[in-house]
Amino acid sequence: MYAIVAGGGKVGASITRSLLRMGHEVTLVEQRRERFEQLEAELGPVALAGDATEIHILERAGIARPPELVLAVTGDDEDNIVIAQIAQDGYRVGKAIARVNDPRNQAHFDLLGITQTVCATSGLLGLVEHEVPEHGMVRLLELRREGLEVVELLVPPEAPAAGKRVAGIALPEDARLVSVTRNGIAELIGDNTVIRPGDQVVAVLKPGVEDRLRNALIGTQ
Amino acid sequence: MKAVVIGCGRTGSQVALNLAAEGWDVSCVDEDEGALARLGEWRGGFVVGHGMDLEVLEKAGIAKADAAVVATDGDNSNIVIAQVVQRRYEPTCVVVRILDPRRAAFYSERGLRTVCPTQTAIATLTDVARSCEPTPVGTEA
Repeated sequence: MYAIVAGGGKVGASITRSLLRMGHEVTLVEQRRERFEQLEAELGPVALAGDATEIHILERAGIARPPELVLAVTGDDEDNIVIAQIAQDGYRVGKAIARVNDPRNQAHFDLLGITQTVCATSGLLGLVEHEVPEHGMVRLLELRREGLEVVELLVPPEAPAAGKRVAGIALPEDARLVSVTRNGIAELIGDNTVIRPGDQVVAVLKPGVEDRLRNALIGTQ
Repeated sequence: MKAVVIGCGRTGSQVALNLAAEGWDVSCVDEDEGALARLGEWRGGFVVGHGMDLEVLEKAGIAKADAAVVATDGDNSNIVIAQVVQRRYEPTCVVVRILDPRRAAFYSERGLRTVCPTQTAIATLTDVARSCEPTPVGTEA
């Protein structure tokens, strides 16, 4: 596979090393002179100096081949959006993945057609929420392209679902209960599974029905 | 008519002043409060903040704007802001300054109204240089 990595900070450099180790061909584009020299000393001709939002630099990196993968992982969200757009719309790159530095910009990536994004801050926030659940529900995974979310809910003692069979719970149409973890042991849910207080329930749902699922399962808080 | 000018530097501020002088209701957005000084005795709106921040744009009245002029000092910021404004608020006209001719061409092919001062400079400088051709020998008056 051929990949262009735009942005040679810690993230871009690590990904480049991994891709090279896996036997792929990579060009890593870095704008800052000093950083580029470090990368060139380590990676040789894999490193390319320049601003990856300039089309002629992308062309020198081989954008017209086109690569199977472009990773826009600079520290600047505007740059990452532009790189991903040029790759997707201008050169039909197989897959463009962009890094979101500031989670407040996620909506801009979505609006502008960058469907494959990674945001370390949101990921960390998810882990924090997992430890300190707010309103009893934690988002475990967001499948943006598929329009699905995986969430986990903790069933409190007074929950409307507590003591009920799953088949008897009025769930929103766009939500399914997948598994229940009780005393550290997870089991897949069937119609006859009974929800107990203290259960951790994993559900798959379409975005927008979170509140209805929460109300059906653990009630309004 | 209402306009929001995002980026109130040398270019944006003068666009804002021109439109205001013609009776437009103009609001400016700039990260630097000091940019207000470029507007002199300014009676229009001025919001301090980044053009990527929707709250800032909305405070400047983007939702009711007929025109948005995007002229911050960053090409990529301008490209992103202009597209977000166009798709989210759909003003009649969004015009964006892009200094890099290649990016300006790329995005104008994809529906943005781009203005590329570099391209203008290239064309003008070339034309002027061409007009300086030496007069062929023997044709002097």
